[in-house]
Amino acid sequence: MWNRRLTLTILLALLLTIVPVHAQDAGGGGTLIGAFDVGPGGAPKAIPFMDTAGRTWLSKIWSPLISWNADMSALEPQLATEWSSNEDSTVWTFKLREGVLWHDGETFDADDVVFSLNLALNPDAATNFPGFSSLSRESVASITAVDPYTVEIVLNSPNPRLPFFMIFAWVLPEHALKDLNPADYQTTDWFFTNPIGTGPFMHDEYVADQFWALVPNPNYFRGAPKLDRLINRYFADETSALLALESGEINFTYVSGDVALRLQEEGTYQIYDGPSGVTNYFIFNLRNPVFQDVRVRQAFLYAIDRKAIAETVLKGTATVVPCISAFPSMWPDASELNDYAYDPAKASELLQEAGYDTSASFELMTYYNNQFHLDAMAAQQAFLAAVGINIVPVAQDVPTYNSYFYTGEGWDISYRGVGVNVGNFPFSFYEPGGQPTTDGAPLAGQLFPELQALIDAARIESDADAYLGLLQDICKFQNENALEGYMWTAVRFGAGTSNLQDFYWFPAAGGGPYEDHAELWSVTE
Amino acid sequence: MTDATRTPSSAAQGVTQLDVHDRPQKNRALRRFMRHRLAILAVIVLAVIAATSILAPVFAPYPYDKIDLAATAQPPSVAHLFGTDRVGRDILTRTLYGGQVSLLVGMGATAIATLIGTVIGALSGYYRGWVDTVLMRITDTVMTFPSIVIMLTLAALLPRSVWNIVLIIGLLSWPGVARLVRAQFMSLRESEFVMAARCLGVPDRRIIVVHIFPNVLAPMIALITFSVGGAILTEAGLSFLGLGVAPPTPSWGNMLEAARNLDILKNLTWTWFPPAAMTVLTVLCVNFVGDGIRDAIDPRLVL
Amino acid sequence: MLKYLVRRILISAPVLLMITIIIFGLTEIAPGDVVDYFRSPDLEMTAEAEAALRTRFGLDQPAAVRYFKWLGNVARGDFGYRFTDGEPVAVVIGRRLNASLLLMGTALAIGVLVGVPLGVFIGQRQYSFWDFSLTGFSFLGISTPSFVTGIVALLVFAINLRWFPAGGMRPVDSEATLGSTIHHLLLPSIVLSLNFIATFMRYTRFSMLEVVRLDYVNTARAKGLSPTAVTWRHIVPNAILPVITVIGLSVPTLVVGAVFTETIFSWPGMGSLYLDAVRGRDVPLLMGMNLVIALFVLGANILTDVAYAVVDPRIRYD
Repeated sequence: MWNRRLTLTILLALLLTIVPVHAQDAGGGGTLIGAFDVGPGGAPKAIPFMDTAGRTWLSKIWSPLISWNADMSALEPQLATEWSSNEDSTVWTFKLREGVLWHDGETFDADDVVFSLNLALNPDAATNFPGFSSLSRESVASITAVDPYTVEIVLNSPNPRLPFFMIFAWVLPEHALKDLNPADYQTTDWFFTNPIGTGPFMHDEYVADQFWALVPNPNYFRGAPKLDRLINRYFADETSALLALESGEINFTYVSGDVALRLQEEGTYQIYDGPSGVTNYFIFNLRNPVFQDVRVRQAFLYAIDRKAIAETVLKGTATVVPCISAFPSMWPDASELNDYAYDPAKASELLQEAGYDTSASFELMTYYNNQFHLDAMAAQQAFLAAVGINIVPVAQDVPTYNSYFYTGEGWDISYRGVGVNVGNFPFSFYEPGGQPTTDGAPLAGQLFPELQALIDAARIESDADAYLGLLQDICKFQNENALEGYMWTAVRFGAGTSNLQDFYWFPAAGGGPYEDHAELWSVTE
Repeated sequence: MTDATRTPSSAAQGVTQLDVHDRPQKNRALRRFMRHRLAILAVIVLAVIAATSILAPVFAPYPYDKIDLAATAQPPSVAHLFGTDRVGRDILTRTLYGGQVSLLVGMGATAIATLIGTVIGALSGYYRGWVDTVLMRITDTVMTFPSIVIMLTLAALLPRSVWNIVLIIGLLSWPGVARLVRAQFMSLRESEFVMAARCLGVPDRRIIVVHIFPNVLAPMIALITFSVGGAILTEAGLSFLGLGVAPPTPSWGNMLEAARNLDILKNLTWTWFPPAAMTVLTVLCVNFVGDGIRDAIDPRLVL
Repeated sequence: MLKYLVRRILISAPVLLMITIIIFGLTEIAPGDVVDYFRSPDLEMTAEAEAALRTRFGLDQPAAVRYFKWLGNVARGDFGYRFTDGEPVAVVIGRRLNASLLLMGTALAIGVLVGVPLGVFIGQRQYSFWDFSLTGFSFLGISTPSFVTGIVALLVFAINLRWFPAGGMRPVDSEATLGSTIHHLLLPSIVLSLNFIATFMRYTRFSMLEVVRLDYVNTARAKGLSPTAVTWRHIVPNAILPVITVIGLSVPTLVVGAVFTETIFSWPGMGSLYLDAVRGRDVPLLMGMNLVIALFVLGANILTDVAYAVVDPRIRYD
């Protein structure tokens, strides 16, 4: 009898150890566990500093010279405090923040910046420093440290938007990495075992495939963070992360629009939202003469009730855009724009005028495979079918998609998304030769000299207002000619537990980096 | 779907001899099958599922890709018996049409598997020797190499059409059939009527097709039935990973894929429950039928 | 026996080689490569940067050269580095294999420990209430997609009841302990084991029913042995023979992992890694994984044969 009771007690004790005890370290700002990465999509896709996404997390460890501000409306000083250029934007001077310490206590200075930027341009390192590597190496004449806190970049051709390129270039410690052969960056484990940065948090523990834990950097230049620990947990997909949020295991994750609306109704979570800055649109393969006819392209816009799709299928989490730019500041006045309101009769009329063959069928190629876009495409297909345009959605995985898309072969229309902001306008999409492998494909710039002229002017315009005016002119041109099938830009959401204090998140494309004052974040009991 | 653990089903087969010319025995098998009440019920249910799927254009209240933005995500009602999805498509309609695709994949893939398996098994069992060694090495490799691995690779690399899915599943599920056919052939080739035919100088091809093959049919039917169920589950699994039949063509698998979205899973139950229930019900019935056939021809046959 | 083993191993070598060639061929035919995978739709990549990346991964060389280079390196024990994140392939596979073996091994163990005894149990009670209900369960088990079971289990036991964590392998805010590992392991392995239980139970039942009819069982009974002794000494050992083959055939799936369950439970195993490798066109990882999987499969086949011979003295391999 006694024996049995003992067994029972032991069993109970065992059970108790299995049931999770949510104990948080007393004092300090607590532990914040989030699914920060890539919206969320598992562990880092590449060596962190070469990654094209997940920069919200990387900015906790490393800092760039300049980042976006909180809502991506302007630039925010990080390791650089001031920057300026000469008249024609060929010589740029960056003043650096003084007294910044690396996580290991060494002093940060201009040599680190020169080292990092040269590394980003080094073909042996084969970095795909997004944005920054699109500065072709030929366009940079020199990068020099004028004094310990001044860096000068001399360009071979004018680039008024150079500071925007700096957003993507993390500054790495020269003292720790100078002996590493550039070709070995691809395979080094330094970034996961012993990374040193200037960001608000320092490396603590990285468990591959599972999580990355950081501890506060007491020397952070905006002040020591309040949190005791900041952890990024990796999930296979959005659903798994959401399950963890709802079971109370994590404090924050990115969520899709429908989930955000539901969580908002439940009222137990803090919802963070902001514009994605990504425009979803159809790009027509202009190699096909059918799409060179403006009436056919316009018919696509008239035929699809974009507003209805945005409001019902996308539940009002998306707004219709007039052109490739997602931000209204880049649009001209509404009176100058055609809103292409839903008008199937007009669409049919335009198709008839153009002599469109309604027996034709086109593949609508996409890389999207989430429910949001699948639903949207089902609706687009149905609307187009109603006016006699037959499209068949075809979802490809990313490498397949890109190998077709960039060669211009094997697709007719593509439904895709592109992040467009003031500092990073995808001019090259419209220029011959801008896309490396589009050998001789008739791109918009060739077909439309007027557009090419606007692009040429915008590229070198150094006055911010005049530049914005040119972007608006481009928008007007795109809208008038239905150059592409502009659909909508969505709002993106994050959901956090109610005990998060002063937490901030913004759905910047690729994760920013933007200023989120992570040093102020805390979690209450 | 067994998460890559579809156990090859002909692990240890007994060998059956069934002469097709032996009428009474065949009738006995039929009688035995009819006694298997669950299997009869399953045949009836399957017939109803197949009929409604094939006649979907007649029964379905709407076209399967007809959207209705005024009635999105509606729970079941009179207008939409099973409700609508998030673009206002009728779930009942899509479930009916989805049955077409799922059954097509199930039967198409099995047909391919049967064809390949029969040819390889027959050659291997009839000629034996080095032909047998080579073909059985290949069979063992395909059988034991986790087919889900190759399937994932192929499904990711080929366009997501119905026929590609049929082909991929079919090309990887023939070893079971091959092993069964081989075992049958090996024993039948030594039987008296085959010996007699050979003595009369009947050519090999004729012996294989006319004399031996009809006798192999019965045990094959049971195995084939089971593999239809397996193929339907495999399609559902591939769809769940976004590698199956591409929407907007509905299949039960890709309708179920939507349930990966937690919001749909929890709040739009009616959109994924019908395809889930139909998948389970169909595969269950197929398995009952297979069980019934096996019991009828030879209960000792382990499939 | 030894001769047989050596012959089996020798025959396996060309099979292995064929598998690597087929997989390499598939990655060659596949549209797109890792550089296409890296290309972000938002950002421009100069032709120079693109070419540099291709050179970096050795993709500028002919396929045959790359294959033989890979083969040569593997022969020296060097599996290379992952394209996508530069981690040594051997390290990634080692880590993921551990996770998969833990999950699938537990599921298989539960499957054997529950499925076989249940099979023995109902095998003695043909057409009883237990036979019908457990056979019914078994049919349901093999007819239900595991991702459906997985999602439902997660919804009920992790979200609504909060008995188990909603995925992952260990807690992130404290050290991993034996208790925490079991806690994370339990739900996914039970979900996975349902299928094993159903399969093993069915096979054991069939096998039991078959053996019960055999002459020597009658002889044993006639000798006046007690029913228990007949069951456990004469029926069960013989009935389990074919089941061993079935269990052996399940072993390879341990290495591949459980693609769906791993995805749903964020379990960092081989299944989800394989998906990542295909999606990222991560050739060194893909080749390495297939080689490891093939080795396991062939090894498991040989072991199954050996186990069979050990259990059943009637079988001799020469």
